Amino acid sequence: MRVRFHLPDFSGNFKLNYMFSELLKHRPEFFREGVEIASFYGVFPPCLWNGGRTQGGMTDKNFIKNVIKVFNDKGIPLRYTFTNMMLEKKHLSDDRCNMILNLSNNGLNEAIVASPVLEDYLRRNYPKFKLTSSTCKRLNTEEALLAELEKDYHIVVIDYDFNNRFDVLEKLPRKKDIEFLVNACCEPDCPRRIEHYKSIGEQQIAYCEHIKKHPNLPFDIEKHDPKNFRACPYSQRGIFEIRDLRTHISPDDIWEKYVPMGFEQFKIEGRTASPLNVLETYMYYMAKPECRDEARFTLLKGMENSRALIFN
Amino acid sequence: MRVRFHLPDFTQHFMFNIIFSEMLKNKPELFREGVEIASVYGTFPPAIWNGGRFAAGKCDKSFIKQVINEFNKRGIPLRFTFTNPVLEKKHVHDEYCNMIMHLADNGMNEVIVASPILEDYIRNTYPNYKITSSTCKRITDPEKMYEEVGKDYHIVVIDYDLNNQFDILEKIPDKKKCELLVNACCNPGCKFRSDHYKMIGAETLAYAEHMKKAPGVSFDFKLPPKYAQYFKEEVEKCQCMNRAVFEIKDMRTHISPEAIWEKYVPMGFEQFKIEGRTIELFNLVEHYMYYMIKPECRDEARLLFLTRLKRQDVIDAPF
Repeated sequence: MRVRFHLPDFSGNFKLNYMFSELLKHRPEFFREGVEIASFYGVFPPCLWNGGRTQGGMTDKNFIKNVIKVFNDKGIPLRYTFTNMMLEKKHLSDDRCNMILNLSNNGLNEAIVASPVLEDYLRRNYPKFKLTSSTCKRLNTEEALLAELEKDYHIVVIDYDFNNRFDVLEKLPRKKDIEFLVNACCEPDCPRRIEHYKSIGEQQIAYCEHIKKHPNLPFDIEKHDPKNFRACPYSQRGIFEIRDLRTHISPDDIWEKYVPMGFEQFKIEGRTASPLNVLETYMYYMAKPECRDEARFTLLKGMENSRALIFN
Repeated sequence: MRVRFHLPDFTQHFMFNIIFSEMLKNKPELFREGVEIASVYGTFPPAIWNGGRFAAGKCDKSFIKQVINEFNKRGIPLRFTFTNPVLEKKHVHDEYCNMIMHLADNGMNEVIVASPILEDYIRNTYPNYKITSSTCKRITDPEKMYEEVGKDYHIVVIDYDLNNQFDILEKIPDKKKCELLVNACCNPGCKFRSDHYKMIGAETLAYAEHMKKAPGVSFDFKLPPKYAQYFKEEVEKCQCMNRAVFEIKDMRTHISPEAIWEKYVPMGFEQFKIEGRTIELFNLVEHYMYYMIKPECRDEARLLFLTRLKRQDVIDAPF
């Protein structure tokens, strides 16, 4: 049995994810049957092609090289969330994004895509990267989903409004290549979701332009959020507030329903969540319930020892 | 039903305990039935009367006042761990310790004692303080323990080698007055325990002297010749204090939360001490969750507590 998890943010959550991967390696008895880390996804900010969540910050080349090496040496791919839907041809030549791809162009790493413009560019210039089709595309009809599964994507992350729709899921081909976002914080069937992803894409472009021109000035996100998505109350929901959503997939469902059906890829979101919430979400999904307290404690202690968490 | 917990350290864990007490007030539904904070115990280093655990550091008067005020205004007594067993007469006049006693002398605060010399002094000089008899006294003989409970202490902390010895505990006449240390990390029946308390006492004296003479130089824990009699090699090697909550549950002295609610409280006990003045903070978080939070709310309560600690900058997450 393989239960493969895609985990959030190799950059902002670098230490958490590194310590977590070590815990999984050295204390496998803490974890549910078959748990594997399929990838750590995210970007190295600032990143023009990034989508799904607006991410600020600054990472230098040494850090980028180090992160790639540390995770790739453990056999874990990085998967870039290059899902900015607002990209145009002029953005494809972005130095930094191309530099990142060149640094990790070793056949192990992957990219998630939503924009056809960028997808074509990656297929032509970086054919070694495995491509994942993004849930940002909002393919929420059965026809569109089936058509997507016919394309040569390595993985297709299905629109999470299909989560728990077993009548639809049962009929899908290529179940091993289908990935489920299990802990979505967004409202099921949210009518504004695609608009939100587009707005995030625009913000990301504006942020990258700002940081080039004024690296020392704060970015005024308000100016780049005309539809006021910042006021959306759902994006900050934690692991204890989403469990009753229709789209939520519980760990018991993963092991008792989805895996027996033939699915094996599961995505945990959390790139912009509090790291404490991410850690709790990892425990909820991947640690055996009876080992959760000890696993969490071991991880927290490890993070304290490595100064990823500091008590003042 | 009252289940009164005495919690570790108002100095090192100052904001930690304030935030926890606020959570008990604001989210009582997460807690087991009847949980109360009976006191937060500890010391303001470098107080020479301190015992039980070595406490380094230096507290100024405004910090001391602030800590007293923050806990007392929430109705929580401070309880000073003035249990240094190697004190002599000359030590009772220590200016710093007496200053602490004066600042907190409002009838609400308490003190734990082990040394008869200090106990006499405090009874005479600070009659407002409620006095707790310390487990450091190592009263393991049941008859002597019953006798101790009969004295005019506010609370008697029972030697934890007697934990779970229900035949002995059953016969205590005044169980409400007794306090049980529930999460001891020390080996049951440890023959070095008294020596360990004495060595800590001597280190505390040596540290305070060092801080007076050379406050800018780090303390090397080497006991000066005048305290050589308190040095014990076995004690120096002891690693038991680093045990996590998951490593102590099988010890015969361990009292589980289920035992508290199902055995001890029905017997009439209501005072429980959680040790942890010097343990790692995440270990302490786990102890608080284990003992005081309903098992089905533990994950949620822990995340809430950690999040509040982070929000108040008690935890920094620079990743």
